[in-house]
Amino acid sequence: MIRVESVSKWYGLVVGVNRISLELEPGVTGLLGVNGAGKSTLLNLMAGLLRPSSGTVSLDGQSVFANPAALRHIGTCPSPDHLYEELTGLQFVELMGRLSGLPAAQARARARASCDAVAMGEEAGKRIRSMSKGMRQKVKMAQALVHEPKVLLLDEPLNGMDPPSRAQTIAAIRRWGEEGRCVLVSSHMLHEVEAMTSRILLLHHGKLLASGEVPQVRQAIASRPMRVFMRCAKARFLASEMIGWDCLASLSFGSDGRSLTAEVSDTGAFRTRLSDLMAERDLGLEILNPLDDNLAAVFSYLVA
Amino acid sequence: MDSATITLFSFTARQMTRSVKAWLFGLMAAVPWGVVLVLRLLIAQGVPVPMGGVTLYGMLVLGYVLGFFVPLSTLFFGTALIADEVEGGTLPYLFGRPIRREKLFLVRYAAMTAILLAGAWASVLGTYLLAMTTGSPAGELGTLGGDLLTVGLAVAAYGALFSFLGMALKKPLFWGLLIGFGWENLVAWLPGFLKRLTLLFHLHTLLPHASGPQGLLQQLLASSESRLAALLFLLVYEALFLILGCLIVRRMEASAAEREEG
Repeated sequence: MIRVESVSKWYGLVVGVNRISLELEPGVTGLLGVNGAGKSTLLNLMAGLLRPSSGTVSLDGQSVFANPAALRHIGTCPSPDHLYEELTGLQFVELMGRLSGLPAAQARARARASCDAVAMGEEAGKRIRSMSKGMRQKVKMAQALVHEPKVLLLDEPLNGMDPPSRAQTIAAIRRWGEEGRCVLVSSHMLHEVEAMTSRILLLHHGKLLASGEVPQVRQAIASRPMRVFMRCAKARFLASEMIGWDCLASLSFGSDGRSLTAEVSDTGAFRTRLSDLMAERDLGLEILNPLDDNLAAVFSYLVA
Repeated sequence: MDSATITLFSFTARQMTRSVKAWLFGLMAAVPWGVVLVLRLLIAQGVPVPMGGVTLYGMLVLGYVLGFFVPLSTLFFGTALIADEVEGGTLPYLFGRPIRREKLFLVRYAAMTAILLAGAWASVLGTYLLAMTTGSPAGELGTLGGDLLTVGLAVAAYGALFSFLGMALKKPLFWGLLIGFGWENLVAWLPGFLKRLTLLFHLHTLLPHASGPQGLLQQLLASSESRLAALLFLLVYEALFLILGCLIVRRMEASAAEREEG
């Protein structure tokens, strides 16, 4: 089992992931987040390609970074589209098999089997430089499989695939999960991930916002109040007007006397009532900002 | 030797020999052959030529092969050993395999050294055969053997230096040129201990050419060192650069320059 314990990764002043802890279980888990959320960073940390700035990533108790004993059990399909262009798909997968320690004949057989598992067919014999984007994705997935790892880390594997290829790949990923492998698939499209699994991890700004079954995450979003920061010239008047609103959970003043922080349970109702109030009275509203990593906004993006 | 080692070695060798660089350096290796052939042509047409035979051969080995071709070829291939994989985005595929990083680096270094050694030896051997056919080729076989050994050590030592620099520095070609052609050629001439901090000084000590202009040059450069000391220095430098390279590759990240993409 692969375990991530309080892992952070920063590049200078930029935080890639921030104190993430998780345990990957057998089966398929979706890793969801918008672009820049930290999905690729987390996957690269788990693949032993990046060293954590703090925390540990371990497989069966062994650190993963640059550890051949752990890497033997991990297969990674990276997101960037870089391959050895002069090789055929089959040659590339066989090469990866041989570099994983498989003898030549076994690597050849495993390469063929891996290419068949991702439905490459005769395309596997073509040079990679002449392949379509979708086929190149399949080559990447096949090389992740060739040494039969128990952990598969797939970074946006469906990118560039046409609908039939997507369906084939989704079916393959489900099958790998049913075989007992730990499969982590990243995407920014919830409906894609839902076709493979109901178990998701939701990442935003490098933090793990939510994890669990999709219905649980939806419930968490619905019940979680959102904090909103406001600054206006008539803060006390605004506070006196808002205090009776049902959608307001709590309200506090800032030290400058002009700012308010509201905890809102129903953002839609809050916006409507605030807009109506602003239309009736000149509040001198200068700033209106959500303070939280906005789980609702993130989830809305993912389901769009 | 395991399957992964053999595969990595042959894959690296294939990558090198199929590159455009390989063709260019292949042509460069043949430059001394061209020089000898031109001079022989002039001699055949009765044009007086200032040198020939073993003297010409010695000058070409000392001045061109050791002084130019070996440092330049090892610079370009050595600095690219891991850097090319980084720039091509294929390093994750190598680092993600269950191979020790140090082994990855050393096997790729060995493949590079083998290929460049073949080129350098072909250059020396071809020059010898072309330059010596008018004289007594068998008489200078000891010189040839010594040159092949020295050029081999040069490829190994410079290869180790530039492979290390390729991972340690941001602009390795620039620093490599500065060190390989600046530091090496200037400091090797200085009196005192400082010249021992160059590879060129020790290589010149090992070269067997004792007569002629290049012999004097050698004597100036290598006046106070035994061949055994020179050999030891070269082996220690090679080991040092390879150890440093291993320490760097051990800590390298496969996507160090990569920011979050998705």
